[in-house]
Amino acid sequence: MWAYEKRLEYPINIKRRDLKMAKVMLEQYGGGQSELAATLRYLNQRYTMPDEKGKNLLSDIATEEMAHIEMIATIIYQLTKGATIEELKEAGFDTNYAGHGLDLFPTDANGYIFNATYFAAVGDPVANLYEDMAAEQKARAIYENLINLATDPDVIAPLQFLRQREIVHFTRFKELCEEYEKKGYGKK
Amino acid sequence: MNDYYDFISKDFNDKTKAIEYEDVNSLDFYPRAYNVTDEMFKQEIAFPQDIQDTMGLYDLNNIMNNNMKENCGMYDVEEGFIRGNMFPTLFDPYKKLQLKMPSVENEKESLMLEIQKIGFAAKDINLYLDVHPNDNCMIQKFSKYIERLNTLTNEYEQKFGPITLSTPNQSLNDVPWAWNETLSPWERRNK
Repeated sequence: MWAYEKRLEYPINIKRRDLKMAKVMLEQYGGGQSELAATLRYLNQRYTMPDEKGKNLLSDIATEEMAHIEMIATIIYQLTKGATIEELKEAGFDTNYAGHGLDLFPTDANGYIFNATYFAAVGDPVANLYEDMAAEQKARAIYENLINLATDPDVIAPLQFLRQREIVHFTRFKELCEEYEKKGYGKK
Repeated sequence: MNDYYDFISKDFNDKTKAIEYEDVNSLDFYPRAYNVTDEMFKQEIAFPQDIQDTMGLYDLNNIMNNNMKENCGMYDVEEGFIRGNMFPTLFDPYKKLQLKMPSVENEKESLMLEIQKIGFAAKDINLYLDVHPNDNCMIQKFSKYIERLNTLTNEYEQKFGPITLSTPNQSLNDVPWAWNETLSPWERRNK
């Protein structure tokens, strides 16, 4: 089960509103390689892991990804809080505001709604781990895109942190996958 | 063009190549508003010893300096936190961006930052131990960091109110309920 700590994993204090940045940040909130997709992917794959190593790794990384969802949400919240109608219209965020106000809602940067086809759990530990590795790489690349788009250092710092976390997660999945392949867990 | 494709397909655990970033990764492409002057930006950022040492080396023994040996081959808590990575062999910076510790303005934020640092260090060791359960050095480190995390959390909660509901906390005996008195963590510093 999960316990909640009323703190962020990494501090976020954004001083300036930037609705265009908020719009593209949605990609990591509800998009194909978002932290939300990662959480659900790992939580659903952990049941067929052949030993406690795999189950623990997936549970623990999923827990950290939940903290990352919170960080992305915080970034979007702080980038949009107190926005005026003119600012919303100018940034193209009005389409988001129409359906959700300034609430958060999982869509990607283009407004396409989150759905469970973004992740898979196929019942084979090696296949699942290869998907996890690919997902972490894609998330890293998307964080690089977001860093390229950002101009505010208060936004770039947490993005750098999150990008580095994806690299570490990738490495752990890779190490586990190599071990499972050596032990022959990939074949049923 | 070839260098660009090398960048896309590189195995970023392969530190045998010092990759020269070109095209999309050139300095002209990158937005400048990151608190550094042009001159600073174009200089090689001097990372601490570890990055130069890890180029082309996988063997942990070769890259460990004295500090790292005490830390089981990891960065210490501060260096690990600003990188988002406790492990020198895994650290992969993006575009020579500068690393800096988040700023704090008062005691509450300072104590919270300490909690975040040590909590992060423990989490990263946690993930490592899931895959390498026989590393005694790391196991001792994890317990030590968790103990420190508890101490810091208790100190924070005594002064500034509860941040967890799963540890004993005097302030939860107060009326009105102290859990409602602490701010949710997504609020800005100056609301």
